This record gives sequence, structure tokens and C-alpha cells, in this order.
Amino acid sequence: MERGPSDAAASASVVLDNRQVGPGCFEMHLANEHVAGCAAPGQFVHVRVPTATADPLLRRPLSVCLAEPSGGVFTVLYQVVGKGTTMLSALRPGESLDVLGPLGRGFEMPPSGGSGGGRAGAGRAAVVAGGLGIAPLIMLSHALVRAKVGFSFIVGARASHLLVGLDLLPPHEDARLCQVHVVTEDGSVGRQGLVTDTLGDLLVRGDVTCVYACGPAGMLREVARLGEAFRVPVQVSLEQRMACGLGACLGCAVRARGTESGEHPAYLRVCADGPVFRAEEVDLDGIA
Amino acid sequence: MGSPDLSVSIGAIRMKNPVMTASGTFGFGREYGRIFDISALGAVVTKGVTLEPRAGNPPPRLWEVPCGILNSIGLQNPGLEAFIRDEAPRLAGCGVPVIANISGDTTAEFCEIASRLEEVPGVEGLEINVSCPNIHAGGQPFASDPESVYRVTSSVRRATPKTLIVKLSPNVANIAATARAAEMGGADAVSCVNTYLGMATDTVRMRPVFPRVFAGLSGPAIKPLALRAVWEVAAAVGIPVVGIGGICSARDAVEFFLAGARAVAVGTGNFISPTACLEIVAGIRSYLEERGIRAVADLVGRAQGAVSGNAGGAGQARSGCTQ
Repeated sequence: MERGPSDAAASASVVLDNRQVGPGCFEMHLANEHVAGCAAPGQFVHVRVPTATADPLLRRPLSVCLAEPSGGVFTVLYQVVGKGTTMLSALRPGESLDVLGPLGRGFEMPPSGGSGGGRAGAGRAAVVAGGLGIAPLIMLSHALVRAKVGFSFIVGARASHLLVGLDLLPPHEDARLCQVHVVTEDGSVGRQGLVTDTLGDLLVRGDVTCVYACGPAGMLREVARLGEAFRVPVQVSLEQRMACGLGACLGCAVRARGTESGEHPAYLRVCADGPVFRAEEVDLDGIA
Repeated sequence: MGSPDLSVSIGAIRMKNPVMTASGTFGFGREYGRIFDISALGAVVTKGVTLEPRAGNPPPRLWEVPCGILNSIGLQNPGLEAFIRDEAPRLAGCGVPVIANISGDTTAEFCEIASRLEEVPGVEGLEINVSCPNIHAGGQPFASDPESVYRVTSSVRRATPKTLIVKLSPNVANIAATARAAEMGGADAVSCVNTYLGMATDTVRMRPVFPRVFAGLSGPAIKPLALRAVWEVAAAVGIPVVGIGGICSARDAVEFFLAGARAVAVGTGNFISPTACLEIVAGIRSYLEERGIRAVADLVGRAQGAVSGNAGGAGQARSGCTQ
């Protein structure tokens, strides 16, 4: 897809709020009219860690979790995993962050449910979030509500205190439109088990027409397996170590599926061909 | 005084400024073309092109280290035919000199690519990659000794009248010797340096991070090493040197000019700031203006002249010579 020079630009964003919402998990609100105005669900921003030195060197890709075009504000959810994210977590309101984006290919929306949204028999989307994988799916959920596509939002974590971002989901007073299923491995809240158990139940019931997923590699593999078994299309959002974020350096490759045997395996770029892929496009066994 | 003269020439290529892109960091200009007008660059050096398409290495391909990146991309590229068909015509219309980086496993492959690019409009020069560390098992480059650099350079020289740049590997005992071999083989310039071989170990899995074990180190971490290599090479050859290695700012670029580089290429710096090249061009202009220096060419090798009994000077033994 060729796009104009203006749709991915590096620009300064002012931090409006940056607060801890879980163990090592932070929610940051940034003022940036460009990103807030044109980010699509599933896209990401590539942020430069504010440091006077060259360490950490590379930008950090963060999913856009919410974007409010009218307010010119967007939200990211991130986990502190190393030096770069530790420095991000220390940012205070009023400080500025260099943001490149929005970047990448986001989620394909299902056909609209029409004015009677989510009515029985029309089929529903299933959105499956594992841990911090909820980030891009929050924005997707808002888009589904706007498109009046009914969906089940299955969100899980090891334990209740690791569930983050639920407060950012669209208001779901209309249960036909948005039904939230909380799952924890230890049973501390919601159903005990795995998100894929709940997805399996919904698939068995037969009214799921498409699945969206983001989370750990093992979860994505199981979601893809279920989708294949039930012949329901699955879109997954992937992560990979990334350098340019634009598709030029070929550093964030994942192996493509379905390349002819005997041929060299082909690779796809998470930053530009993804981060959202149809599950059948990528070799999920190869992701970490 | 008017605006300083930023133009430089590398072989027959006249560049409006001395800043080009380093191969493999800028694709074929499409992606960065979304961010800025690439005609503002001195030149575009393309992603390495091979005769046949290459899938590249399995992931992981990147590993960040303090002030640098290890990469093991493995020359993923669409192959010469697709380059000529899909990339070169568009690049030819971008208003910027294009230097195709080419790579092969044998001298014959280099020559075939060079002769097939001879008639391709828009490609003004070739940079021959005799030093990519990722294409062979164990990271052994194709040409790490002066004799093979001479052999491949002189063969490609016969195959093309276009400007010929030899990209030197720093993973050699005597880089000045390989530079002289390139010069004697007929290169118009050398670019200096490609990535340094390094590695990283995954302490959780207790195995090397990269399936190919060794990977190429780039970024600010290698700048002092690259600068020394440029210094040695510039003292050893008469052809222009393109300085490469961790250049992220105009000040970095100026260091390379003073050490003897005629032009610079920005690689990893593009990843940190996608408009790094533009910022560096502007910064070089300011540097010259502030000091009343007329032309960027006046900076080239100036630090060498400042050192008495120049340690890397031309009087150094030419024992690595190939002829």
C-alpha cells in the first residue's frame, strides 16, 4: 500500500498523563492531533525513548490503545520490561515524547451489523486479549461498537491484579452489542481457565463469525488452531523486535505460511505488512 | 560569504551534499519517501541486490545492545530482475543519484549483476558488497583478503563504466591493505565500514541469540572504530572514502570528514530519526557557516594534516599490496 508522505511523521507529543495501572503496567495519554486523527485500530506508534545518550538506541513500538480525534489525544498501554520502557514510565505530564506514526496495517473490520446491531443469528466477532495484548483490541472494540457489530470480548490474565485496561473498553450496557468475559488462570476473578477455553465454548455455540486476537505466542497459536478447526477467520496482532518501523530494514521479519515447499521461506515485516495478520498468513509456530 | 558549498563528487557522481544512505537501512527509498522528499539526499544507496531473490535469515534478526544494534538480515532482497523492473525506474525519477549496492557469492555473479545494470537508467553507481557478514555459515565474508578484493574489483571494473565503490569490511587484519587493493582494482571510491562482526548470547535459553551465531554490529557503538578505519584508509588511498559507522549527527559526520572521508553514509541513524540525513545536512551547513568555511570539501582530511608524523600516513608499509 502506497501512502502519501504526510501520513507517517515524527512529531512531538506532550504527555498528559502517565500512570501505573498494574504491576509494571502503565497507561499514558499523549496529545498528538496527527496520531489521534488518523490511527486505525491495530496500528502502532514508534516512540523514541527520551534520553540524551544513544542508549537505549532504538525506538519502541507501542500499540495505539485509544485515539480521540476530537480531543487530539491518544492512549498507549505498556509494560516495563527493560531500560527503554523504564525510562518511558518516568515521563511526567508536560514532558514531550518523539512519536512516529501511526504505522502498520491494522485490523480488517467485519461487515457492519447494520442498525439492529448484534441481533441474534447475525453472527458476532470474538475478541481475545491475553494480558497486555488487550491494548490494540481496546481501540478495535470501540470501532466495533461504532460499526454496530456485536462482539464478545474475552480478556484474560494469570490473576486478577494483572488484568489491565478493562476500564478503557466501550461502555457495554447493551449486552447484545458487547459482552465481556473475564478469565483468570488462578480463578481470582471471572472464570478460571484460559481465554481459549471461553473462545472454544463460543465457537462450539456457532455464532462467532470472526476472531481478533493479541497476546502471548502460545495463546495466538491456540486461537489460530481453533479458528482453523471451526473455519472462522482469525486476525492476530504480532510483536517483533523492530528497528525502522517503516518496512525498510527488514529486521522485524516473521516467517510467512503457505510458501511452496522447496522454495526459500518468505518473510513478512511485522511493522509494515502487519502488525495485524490473518492467521493463515504467518507461521505462528516460529514466533516467540 | 554565500551559502557554503556542500557538493562533493564520488567518481562521476555529483552529489549536492555529502550525505547518503547506508545500504540495507533505507530499502529502495519507498518507505522513507513517505516521510520526506528523498531528492534532498546526496545519494541513495540501495538495499543489497543479488542475482536471484533471497529470503533472508530466520528471525530473530535484530538485537539491541548498548548504543548499537546487532543485525542478521541475510540480504533479503527481491533479486536483480525485480530490482530493475520494480525499483530502478521509480528511483530514477526521484531526483537523486542512485547507487545500487550489489552482492554475490562469486566474482562471476558480481560481474553479471554489474553488466545487467549497465543499461539501467537512473543507477549511476554500484557499491560492491564484498563484506556482508551474514551470507555464509560462520559469517565468513566473500572477500576478506586484499587479493580477492582486487580480483572482484578489477573484474567488476571491466564489466561496468559506472562509478564503482567498494564497501570494505572492518573484519580484516589490515583494512588499509584491502582499500589499496580496491583502488588498484579500479574502484572509484571505497566505503568504510560495513558492520563489525559480533554476537549475543541468550542467557535464558543458553544459546546464541542468532541462528547464524555472528551478526553485524552497527550504530554509535562502532563510531570510534569506524573513524579509525576511515583515518587509516584515507591515508592509504588516493580515491575518495565514504565514511560509515554510527553517524547520527552533523558532528559525527564532520568527524569523518576531518578524518578523511569525502562523503558519509547514514545507516542506523535513520532508525532513530527517520529524517536524520536531512538534519545532518542542515547541521553540516551550520557548522561550515559558523566557521566561515567555504566548502565541505575543505574539511576532508584536515585532522590528518594536523598530526605531525601522521600515524596512519601514506608512508605506512604497503605490505598488504596485491601486486
